[in-house]
Amino acid sequence: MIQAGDEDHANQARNWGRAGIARRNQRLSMMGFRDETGSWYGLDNAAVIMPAVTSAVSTYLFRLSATIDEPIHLPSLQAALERVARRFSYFSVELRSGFFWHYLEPHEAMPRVEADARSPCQDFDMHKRGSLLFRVRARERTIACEFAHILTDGTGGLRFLKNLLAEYFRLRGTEAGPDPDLLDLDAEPAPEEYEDAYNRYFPEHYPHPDYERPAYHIASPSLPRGSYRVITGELPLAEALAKAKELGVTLTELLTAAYIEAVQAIWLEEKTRERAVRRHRIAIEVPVNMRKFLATKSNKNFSLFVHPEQDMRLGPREFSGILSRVHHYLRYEIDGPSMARHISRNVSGGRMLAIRVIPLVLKSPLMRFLYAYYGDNKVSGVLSNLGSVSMPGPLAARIERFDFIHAPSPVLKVKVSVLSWRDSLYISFGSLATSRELERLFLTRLRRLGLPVKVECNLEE
Amino acid sequence: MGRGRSAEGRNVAQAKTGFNDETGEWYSLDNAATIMPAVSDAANTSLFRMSADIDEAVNLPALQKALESCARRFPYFCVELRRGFFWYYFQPSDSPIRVEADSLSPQQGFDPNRRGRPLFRVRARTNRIAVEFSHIIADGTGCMRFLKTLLVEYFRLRGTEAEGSDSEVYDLCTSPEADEFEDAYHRHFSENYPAPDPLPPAYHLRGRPLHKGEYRVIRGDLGLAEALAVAKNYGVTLTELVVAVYLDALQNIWLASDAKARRRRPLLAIEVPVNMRKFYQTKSNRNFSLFFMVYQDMRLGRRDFKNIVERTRYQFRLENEAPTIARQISRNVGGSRHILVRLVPLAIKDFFARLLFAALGENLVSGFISNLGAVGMPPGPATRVKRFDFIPAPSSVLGTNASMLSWRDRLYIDFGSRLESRELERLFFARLRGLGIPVRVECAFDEARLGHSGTVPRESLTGTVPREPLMGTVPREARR
Repeated sequence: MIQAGDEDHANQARNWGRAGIARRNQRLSMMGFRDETGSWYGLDNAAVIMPAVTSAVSTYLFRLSATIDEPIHLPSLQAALERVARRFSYFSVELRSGFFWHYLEPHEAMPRVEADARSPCQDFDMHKRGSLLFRVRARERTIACEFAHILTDGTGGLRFLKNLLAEYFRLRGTEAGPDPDLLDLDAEPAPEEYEDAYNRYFPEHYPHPDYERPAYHIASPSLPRGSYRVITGELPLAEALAKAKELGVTLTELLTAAYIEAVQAIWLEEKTRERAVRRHRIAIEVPVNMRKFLATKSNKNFSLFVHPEQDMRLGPREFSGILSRVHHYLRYEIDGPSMARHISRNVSGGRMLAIRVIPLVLKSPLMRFLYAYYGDNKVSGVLSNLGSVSMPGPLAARIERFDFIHAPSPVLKVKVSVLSWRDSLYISFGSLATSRELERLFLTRLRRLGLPVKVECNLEE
Repeated sequence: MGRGRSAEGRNVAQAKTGFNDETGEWYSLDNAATIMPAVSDAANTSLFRMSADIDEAVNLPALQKALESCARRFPYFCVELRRGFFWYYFQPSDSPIRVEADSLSPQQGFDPNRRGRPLFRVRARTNRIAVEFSHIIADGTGCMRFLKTLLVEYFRLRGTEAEGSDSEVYDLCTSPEADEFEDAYHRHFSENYPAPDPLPPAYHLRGRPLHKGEYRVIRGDLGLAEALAVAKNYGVTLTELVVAVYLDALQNIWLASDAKARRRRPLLAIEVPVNMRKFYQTKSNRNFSLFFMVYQDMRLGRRDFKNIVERTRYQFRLENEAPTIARQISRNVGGSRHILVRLVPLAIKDFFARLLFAALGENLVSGFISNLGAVGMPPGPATRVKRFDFIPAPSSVLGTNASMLSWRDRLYIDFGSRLESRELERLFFARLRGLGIPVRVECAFDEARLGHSGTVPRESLTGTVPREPLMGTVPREARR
């Protein structure tokens, strides 16, 4: 019986959240506009930098896909897509350049289901006129949605996919039960669905995050242009959860520790001279869904991240030591007020008059410079856990699996994405590197913990 | 490989602190002590204190006799501080060591830089035997070993023999080994570790200081079993719980302080000393402690107690480990071995030591709490000790500090303060009471005010003092 006597933690998170809701925040979080030129949307705070730093390889596309129990019926999928795209009108946009900022303009034509390719998340240029910022692809029994991160994060993307699946199955004769993520497809989208929650919860007078040293990056020759290798490990969820529980950690903590251990092994293999050049800080970016701290209906980006790290100058660590540090680090850092420091830094920049008056042509190089310093430079890898996916009753039986693949990164080379569906845990490594060392070390660690891992690779089928 | 052996050899050579040459016998200071003489003065005496309340009025002749035997066994403590051209050093003290009378304000009226007296003293009053050690010669571990050896010898002379052996009680018939005064920092130096990251300046308690020469001690007497049970309920260790209570008290004081202080110093930082003997082997009775910090950034808003406890635990588990703390050895020892540092005359070293200490020492700390853990005594004398106390060295910058230890079924948390305000102590003990831990608090200052002399009978020493004087500030006139 803990008798602290004070308000509980959740309460407190609400309290600091409330302090952030100033009227100005409310106004600046509105992203939909209608004027003499028609209607248009602003980019959310996390998306602002992306148009400047994207490239043909770094497409900023992430992918969520579902494999169902029948070959895809294309006409039904197309019909479902059209209906869902109308409901998610704020996703049916293309990217345009204004004088000061990029903005999103509604796309005239209806999106069309495309054929899937062997390498996902490639062949895409968000700047191309007339091209949508997401695409729906189909192949055999798989329906895949690839979203430019400029539009949304994993939460928004998954909501879209769930609505698309529900509508598809409705057309194919299976009605969905109730689910909080399923929208009324005939309703008009509410402005809150595309609000910029970062701006809405901007905490005034907050400190910025602490300085971080640049992180070590795995070196490996790149795959041929246009190739994106996805290695997926499938594990029994119950056994993975039991193992995590036995070790006193969460699944994300366990996987992050396996990740750090794998990078550590690669770091130790480097020659001493290269190590000095290639940095001694291993840090893994673990995205955090900010919706769990701050209420929003937004389907735009609203994630931030923490960087569990390890200083290799203090020597290599055993797996148990890494795990304990990751556990305590994540508990310490995944804390509402601490996370809000990132909002403070990111949003205050965008609100500064001196930044706002710079024309976009000059702003873009500035953003590239900032990104080179703050972005992938500070981490060695990314591990994004979407958690367990839920579907309403009758549909769940018809879906065999979900997959989640990260946007490719030429700097980090490999990124890891995780989700679980029913009895299975899926760990996907999206890689631009020829080397598969990281994947091998990571999955070997899971096997050594006694977890059976089934591995498949998109380039080898 | 050869390089590794020579680094090892150098560490062994540098760890030696005892010398005997044509000038006679002398000792060098350990690495942590090096900076202390420069930053000690009549107020910041560098003295910390451990005392035992026993079951009889102290027999002075027996204590004096025991002290003399102990002083012979611990010659490396019976030293005076001397200035060389490059470094301070210790010279064996010629003056006889006498038990002194205790005073209302402990750890005052002492300047380690003054010649002609050893760097520790033994004091007695009614039923209390206290040793006050300058941090220049030892840390809490060394001091406790001395006190325990002294107590065992005292009780032997008083007719209570110790049964069995205790590794911390020294056999007075043996001679000291050189390992007992080795500089373990040098012994365990590794140049491979990076220097620690720079730490930010921290919030300080402010307020009217006490008169010169005054040091107010508020002693808390808590039920150990209850405290451990509360810690267990929160899933933390006792130290973690107490540090969280300390942070919580500081948080309330910070929130009540004026806007300018809040703006300038929004960071609460508690220094937690770590006994490095738990990570590295040494027999040394000199200093071998380092520390880590527990933070709370007040710019992120007030936190509730449960949240503070959790976050304290996470910081402990991340920081309280050998490689992270050893980074300090790397910096401190590496610095002192640097040729430029060695070549600078002592007067200039002192100047820089003060500068460094002002910028990197207490400036980075809001409060300090040292946990000595459970004290053990061999059967026999054990039944004759009623209570142990551990009082931290006074600091004008921090104002108030705390130390704790446990003895049998009691937990003793003592605050030493140079400030008139007792707000920190009040908030601290009030929170512990609120957690359901029985707390008895006493303050010798108030007993004096209530009409007792400095040498009060035992009954009133352990009795519960009315809460009122503790809540507010005692007027200066009333204490005079």
